[in-house]
Amino acid sequence: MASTQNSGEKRQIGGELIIPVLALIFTLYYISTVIDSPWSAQLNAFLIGSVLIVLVLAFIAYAAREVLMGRASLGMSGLLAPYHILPRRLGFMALTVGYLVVMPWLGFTLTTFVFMFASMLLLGDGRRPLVCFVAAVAMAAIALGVFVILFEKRFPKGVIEHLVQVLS
Amino acid sequence: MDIVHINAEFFLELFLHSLSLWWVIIPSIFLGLIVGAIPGFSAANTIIILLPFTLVMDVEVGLVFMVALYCASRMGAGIPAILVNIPGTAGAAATPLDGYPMVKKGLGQQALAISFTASTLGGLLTTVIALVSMPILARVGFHMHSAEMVVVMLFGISLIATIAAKDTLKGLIAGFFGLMIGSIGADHVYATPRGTMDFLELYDGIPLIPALVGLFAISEAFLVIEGESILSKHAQDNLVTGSWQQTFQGVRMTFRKWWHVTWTSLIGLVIGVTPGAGAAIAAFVAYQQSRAFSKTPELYGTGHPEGLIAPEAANNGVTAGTLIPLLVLGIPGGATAAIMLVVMQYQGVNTGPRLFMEQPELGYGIFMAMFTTYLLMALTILPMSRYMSRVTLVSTTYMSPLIIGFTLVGSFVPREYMFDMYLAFAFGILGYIARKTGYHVAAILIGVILGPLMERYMLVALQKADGSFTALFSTPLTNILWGALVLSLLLPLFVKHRQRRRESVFAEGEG
Repeated sequence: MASTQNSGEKRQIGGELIIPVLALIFTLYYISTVIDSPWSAQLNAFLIGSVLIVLVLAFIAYAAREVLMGRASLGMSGLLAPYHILPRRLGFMALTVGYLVVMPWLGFTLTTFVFMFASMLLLGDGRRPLVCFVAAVAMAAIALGVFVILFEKRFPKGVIEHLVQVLS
Repeated sequence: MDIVHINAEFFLELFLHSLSLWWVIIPSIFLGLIVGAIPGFSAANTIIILLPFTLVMDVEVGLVFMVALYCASRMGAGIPAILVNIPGTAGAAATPLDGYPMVKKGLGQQALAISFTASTLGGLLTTVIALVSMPILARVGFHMHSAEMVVVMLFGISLIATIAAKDTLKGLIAGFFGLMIGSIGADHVYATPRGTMDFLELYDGIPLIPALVGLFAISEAFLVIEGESILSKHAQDNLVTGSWQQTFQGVRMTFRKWWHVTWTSLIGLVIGVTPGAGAAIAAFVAYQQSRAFSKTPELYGTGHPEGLIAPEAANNGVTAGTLIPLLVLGIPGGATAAIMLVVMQYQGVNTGPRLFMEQPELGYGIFMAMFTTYLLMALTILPMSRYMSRVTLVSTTYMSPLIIGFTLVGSFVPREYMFDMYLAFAFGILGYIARKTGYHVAAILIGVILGPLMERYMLVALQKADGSFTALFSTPLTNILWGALVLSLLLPLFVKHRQRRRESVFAEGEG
């Protein structure tokens, strides 16, 4: 089994357990939703779900053996490293969530601009603010032109969309 | 079928006539490339948006416009898949498996040239085959029942096992987790909601675009911020100093693999002819088969040209295949074909055998327009590969927010639900965790795409046989397909075993 760590270090297997644990929780939940259903609804749950549970348990057993034998620890460095990027990465993820949460209030175009500008500033450590501003304006304008005006997609409306509606 | 005046001269005239329609074909190519490259957009929904224009056009011009747009969108979907790991459609989901690693090595120009050449050759070849063997190919659809389709799906799903070969347990967990996620939604018989977490938006199943862009593109955007560029310094130098040589090398490499292009595009053609199957299945099956019969299977996934040729030739082979049941039988094999049927019916054009008897110029002309489109695509798009590949030089400071914004917007477009944007983000996080901890996102995606299709076909097959699994072995064609599947899985193992034995004998001899 491939390691995500350098061969000299102890393997940090904690991060590798996230996907199997998620898979196990989801499979158990899925089975609970079809337990009283007709066989046609249960087919996948039992054909695929049972195999997945066996695979996950096998991986957990393997991980436990590695930890007990001192060849691995439950650390998460495989997932979180490199640490100097971590605040920036978490900030970028938070901005993405913010983009989705704020969009219904501020509208598609304005939120797109704010997200682009803030993300570029964050990832570029505040360097070249003018370039970031121009790139964000260009992206928001293209998005407005193509998706809202040309293809009439029903993105959440805000000040800019209402203004365009009044003008057209 | 009684077809009049069908000879070489007839086809030459049709070809010259379709060339005279360049003024429709070339703009449609560029439009198709753009809509193919935008996640969430496709030829089908663009044609729907432009339907009013299509209906007022002359019927021939309208059909040529739709065919050119359809072919170009297939090729267009491969561009962001290769350059920035964003497959524009499910049909391009297998393209980044080897296309993107080539870009990371600084071979973006070559990868695009390979993709364009394989697409063009695959498209041209299957169009010619479709032209000469339409009546035979049209019957393929009649023989492909639900039991046969279950085995075809398994060809694609067995790619999970191939991916898992590198790390068996993790590969299988990723693939089966994908299959479980693909099972979300109301069941196909009683509409019982399964695993929907009470979200009404999931009753129709997991929407493909959010899953696609989340697993590949959004996770990539969170990953690439570790460096200044998605390319290493060496790869950047390669790209900056690269001349047209990379394009020519890509073209030459693809021509040298002509046999590979031929049989993978034929997989696309046969799958395209089958109603309900599509480019995603064709691409995965072609990739899996290509790897199974390759002399260098260990190079797949590391930026191997064969791994890029196979899905691109196959998904362009699908285009000609999709039109055959529409024109010969009057049965649309996919969304784009269904819209074409609407336009043809509106214009009073009969589909089915009468089309080829009453208006052979139109019936065969559609395929000839497809042939001409592929020729013109090669001439117009191929020279652009050198400049397109420069996109990868953009700093991740700008690239990552652009990828996130672009793909979240793309995931909203098909259904216009804010929920789909959240779903794309959730898949992005899942993809990020998977990549950082050594799970293959392609294995998850294969499960998400092919899982629900396989379940649907399996249910139909089982219901026909009152729940008996013998239905899956009930026809000679099914058994032949089972045999081919087992063979394609075992043959590489046998070849590997023989190779090892030969090497050990050689080593002993040396010793």
